[in-house]
Amino acid sequence: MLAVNHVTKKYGTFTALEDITIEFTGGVYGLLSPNGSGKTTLIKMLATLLFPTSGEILWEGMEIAKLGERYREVIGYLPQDFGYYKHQSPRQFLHYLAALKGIDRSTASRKVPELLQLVSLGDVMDTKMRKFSGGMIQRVGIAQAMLNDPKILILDEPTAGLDPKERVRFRNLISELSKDRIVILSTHIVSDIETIANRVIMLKDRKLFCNDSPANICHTLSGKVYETWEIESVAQPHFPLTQRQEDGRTLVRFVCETGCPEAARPVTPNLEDVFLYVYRDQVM
Amino acid sequence: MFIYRLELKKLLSSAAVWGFLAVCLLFNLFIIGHSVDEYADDVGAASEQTGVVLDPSFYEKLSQMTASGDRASQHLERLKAETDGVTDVFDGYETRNIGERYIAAAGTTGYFAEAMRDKYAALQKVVDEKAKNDESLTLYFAGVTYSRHQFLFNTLLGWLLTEGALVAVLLALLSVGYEHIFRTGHIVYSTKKGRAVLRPKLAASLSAGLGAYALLALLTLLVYFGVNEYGDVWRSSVSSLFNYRVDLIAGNRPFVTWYSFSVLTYLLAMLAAGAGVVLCFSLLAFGMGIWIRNSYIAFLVFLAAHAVCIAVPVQMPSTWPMGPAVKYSAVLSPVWLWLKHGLWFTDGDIDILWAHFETIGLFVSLVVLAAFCLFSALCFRKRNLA
Repeated sequence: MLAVNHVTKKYGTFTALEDITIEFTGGVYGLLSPNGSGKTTLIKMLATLLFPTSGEILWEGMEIAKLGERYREVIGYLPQDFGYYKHQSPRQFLHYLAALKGIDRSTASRKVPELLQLVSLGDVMDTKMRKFSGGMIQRVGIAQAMLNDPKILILDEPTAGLDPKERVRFRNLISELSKDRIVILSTHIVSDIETIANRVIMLKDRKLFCNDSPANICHTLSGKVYETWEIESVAQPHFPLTQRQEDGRTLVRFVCETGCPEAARPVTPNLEDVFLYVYRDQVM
Repeated sequence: MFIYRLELKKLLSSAAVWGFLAVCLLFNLFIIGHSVDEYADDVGAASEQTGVVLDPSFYEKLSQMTASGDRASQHLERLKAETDGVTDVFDGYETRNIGERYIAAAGTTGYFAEAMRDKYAALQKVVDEKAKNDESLTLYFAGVTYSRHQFLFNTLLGWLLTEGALVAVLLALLSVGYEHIFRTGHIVYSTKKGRAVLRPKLAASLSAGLGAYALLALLTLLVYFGVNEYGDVWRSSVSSLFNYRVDLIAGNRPFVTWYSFSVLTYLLAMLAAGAGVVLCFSLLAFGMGIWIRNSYIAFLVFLAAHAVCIAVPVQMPSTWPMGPAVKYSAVLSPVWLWLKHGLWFTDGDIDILWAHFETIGLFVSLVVLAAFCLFSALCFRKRNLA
C-alpha cells in the first residue's frame, strides 16, 4: 500500500499542497483537478522528485525517501513534460532507461521490443524519435514507464497533446495495464478517467476535496442536475454547466440546489458535471 | 559499467564536441606550420651522428661531419661555432640572488620571505648536483634551443592544455546538463539508479575529457614531430646550457628543473601534468553543473569564476594582512597552474613560493575539487527537482 500521510508542500511562503492524506491500494486512481491545483506537485512527490515539507509518504509502511532505490524500482513514471533523446530510436532510449532501472541487458533485450509492440511502435522501434508525432512520443513514454513492470504506475497528464483517437487508444491501454498494480493518473480532462478510474481524487484550494468512487462522487449532485431548452424560464438560482446545439436550439445543462424547476427535466449527473460545479470559482 | 558506457556514448555522439576538436586541430596545424626551422632540423639530424652530450667524442664526430650544399654547410659551421668552447653554466651558479630579487620586488616579509629563501636554498642543491653531473653540457637545439623549447613547451603545449581544458569542461557540462537539455531529468532521476546516475556521468565526463585531451595531444604532436626533426635531441637535457629563461626581475637565467629531465621525459611529465589540470577543470565544471542546471549559464559562471580567481590575487595589495597568503595560495589553483604551465617542474617565478608548485597544486586542487563534486552530488540527492 502507498500512503500519503498529512503531506504539506511549501515553496517559500507559497503552499502548493496542504495536509493531504490518501491511501492507494490497487486499481486506477484518477487525480482530477484544474491546472495549478497541485496535482503535479503531488505526483512529483510520489516519484521522489520533490520532498514533502511536512508529513510522510509510505510504501509498505516505510518512508519512500528512506527506501530510496528499493522504492524507485517499483515505480513507473510518465512525467507531464516528457523529454526524450531526439537523436535516438525508441529501442536505444528504452535500453538506456532499462539500465537505469536496474534491468539486466538480456531481459531488456526481450522486454523493450515487447513493450514497443504493445504500444504499437513495433514498426518504428529503430527510427529516430525526432520524426515522431506527439502521440507516438507519448506511447514511448508509456512503454518506458512499464519497463520495470511497476507496482505503482504514475502518469502525469498522459493524454496532453493526443488526438481523440489516440486518447481512446490510450485509455484502453491504461485499462489493460491496471491489473495487479496501482495506477495514479493525473489529469484535468474528465473523459480520461471517467470510464477507467476505480477512484477519483479531487484537490481544491490546495487541499484534498474528495477521494471516492466515480459513482459516489456523481451521487453528490444527484437530483440537482437538469437540462432545459429554455434556460430563460428557470427562475431559481442555478449554475450552468454545458450547452449543446440541436436543431438550431440550445440545450442547457445546469445545477440547481433549490428544488426542481418546472421548465427543466432532471438528468443523471456525470463526473464532468461534478468537476465543473466543484471548480466553478476557478479559472480552468 | 554498462551505464557508464551509455553515458560515454551520449557524450561521444555530440557533433558539437567533435566539431570543436576539429577546429582545435586545425588551429594547432596552423601554428605548427609556422614552427619549421631548418637549422633546428639540421641540428636534430646531426645529433643522430654526434650524440647530444658535449664531450670529446661529440666534438670529434662533429669535426668529421661534412655537409652537401650551401645551406647545410652554413648550418654545420654554425653548429660548430655555437658548441665551441662552451662551459657548464651550473658551475659556480648561485640561486640565492634570484630569491632575494623576488623578495625585494614583491616586498615580501616574514614567513613568505623565509619560504622564498628556503626554496632557493633547496634549488642551490639541485644546481650543485647538475653542475657535478655536467647536466647542462648537452646539445638540445644549440643556438635555437630557446625558441624551440618555448614553442613546444610554452606555445604548443599551452594551446593543447587550453583546448583540452575547454573540451573537458564542455563535456562535463554536457554530461551533467544532458537531462536538462533534453528535459529527461524527471524520468532519469525517478528510476532505480535515480540521482546516483551522477557517478557514471562524472566518470564518463572525466574519461571523455581526458580522452579528448589525449587525442588532441596525440594528433598534434604526431604532426609536430613529423615536420620537425628531433633526431637524438630527445635525450638532451632540458637544462642544457643553450636553454634559458627570460626573467624581467631576476634577469635571464638557466632553465633549472627540480629533477633531471631529458626532452622526452620533460614532454611526458608536461603532458601528464596537463592531464591533471584538465581533470581539475573537468571536476570543477561538473560540480558547478550540478548547481547550475543550464549548461550555457554554467559555462559563463565557470569563466567568470576563473576571471575573478585571476584578478583577485593580482589586484590584492601585498600590504593587506591576507594579501601575500591569497596571492601565493592562488598559484595552486587550476587556473593559475594553467597560466604558469611554462614554469612547471622549475623553481617558478616571483609568484611561486613553494618547490614543486605544480605537483602540490594538482594534488590540492584534485582533493578540493573531488570534495566539491562529492558535496554537490550529496546536496543534489536532497534537492527538490521542480
